[in-house]
Amino acid sequence: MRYGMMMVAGMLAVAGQGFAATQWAVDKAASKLEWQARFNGQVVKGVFKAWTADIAFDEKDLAGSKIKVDIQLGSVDSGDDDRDGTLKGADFFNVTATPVAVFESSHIVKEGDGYMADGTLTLAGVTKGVSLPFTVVIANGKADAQGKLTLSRKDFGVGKGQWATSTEIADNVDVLVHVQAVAK
Amino acid sequence: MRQQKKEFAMKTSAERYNAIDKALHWAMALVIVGMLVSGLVMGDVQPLALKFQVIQLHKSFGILVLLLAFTRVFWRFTNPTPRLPLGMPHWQKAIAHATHLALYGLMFVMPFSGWLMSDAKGYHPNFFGLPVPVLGEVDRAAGRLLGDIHEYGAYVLIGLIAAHMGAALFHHFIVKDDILTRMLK
Repeated sequence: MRYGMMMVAGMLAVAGQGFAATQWAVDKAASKLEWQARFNGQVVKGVFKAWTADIAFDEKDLAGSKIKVDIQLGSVDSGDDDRDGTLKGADFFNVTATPVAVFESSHIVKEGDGYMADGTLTLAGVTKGVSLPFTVVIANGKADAQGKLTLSRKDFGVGKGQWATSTEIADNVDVLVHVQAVAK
Repeated sequence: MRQQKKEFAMKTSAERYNAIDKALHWAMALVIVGMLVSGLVMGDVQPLALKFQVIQLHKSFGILVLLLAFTRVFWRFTNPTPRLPLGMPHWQKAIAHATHLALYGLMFVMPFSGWLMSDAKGYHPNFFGLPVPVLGEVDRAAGRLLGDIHEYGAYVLIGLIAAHMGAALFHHFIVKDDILTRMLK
């Protein structure tokens, strides 16, 4: 009897903490990965059209939550052939050598009304620690998350040679994330 | 004869171009030549900082050309201008009118296509630092089309200016009439 109860207690304990947080399937059509830069004082925007995200997230299990986003830098689209060509080139994203940028969270914590995903971003061959603040609304197995990350392009060597000085392109670039996902 | 011609033509034309006609003509000629030269070379200007300054100036002067063009058309409709010489062959008059009409057309098409192209490519212009209206949204296809219009329009304009100048010099040195001098004095 005692062993039986211990086994049941053990199984319950394992069941309670063993599984990872909810896995989410991103609805690409309803999601957007956008960047905003400043060129000669004006905002210039673009998106990345091709990216994938592995998201495990549970508000009640932040320790088991994890976000990994792979971004195809060659899918950059800012609405202009010349600018997109320059961005894909060796002085910026260097798509030939470093085609994929990766954001990977190391831990996610509650922050104010939302959350903070601390992790690393690997972009154009450079890896730096970044923190992505985001909010998420989850209802009926559907999640709607918004996040904004401001990073220094110079930290990642995006904009080399004459582009390295911030005069024409400001150093700070905002990355705006809007993800809609369905629980798997 | 000259006196009779003047009385006859008093309401619909003038003897010579007035001071504003001349000022607008030569001011725009100067700016437009500057625009064509900068337009042809500015893509290759180094260093980068100077290149972007030249581009900003090109856009600002382009908007200035547009303002002057509107002024000029308004002035043209409200003030009489000299007729082409009576003795000029009909075909020459036709070419002259067509050339001038095309020049007027391009003095609107060039700045508008440049402005719209800038907006379509996400590089909204300003007027020497002052804000100007946004004429269009970012649009890749529109940017390409307007870029072609702006580029090929420039080549057509260069040809027209060459013809226009050639004709003026032809009239001055070969025909020896007052076509050129009436725009100068």
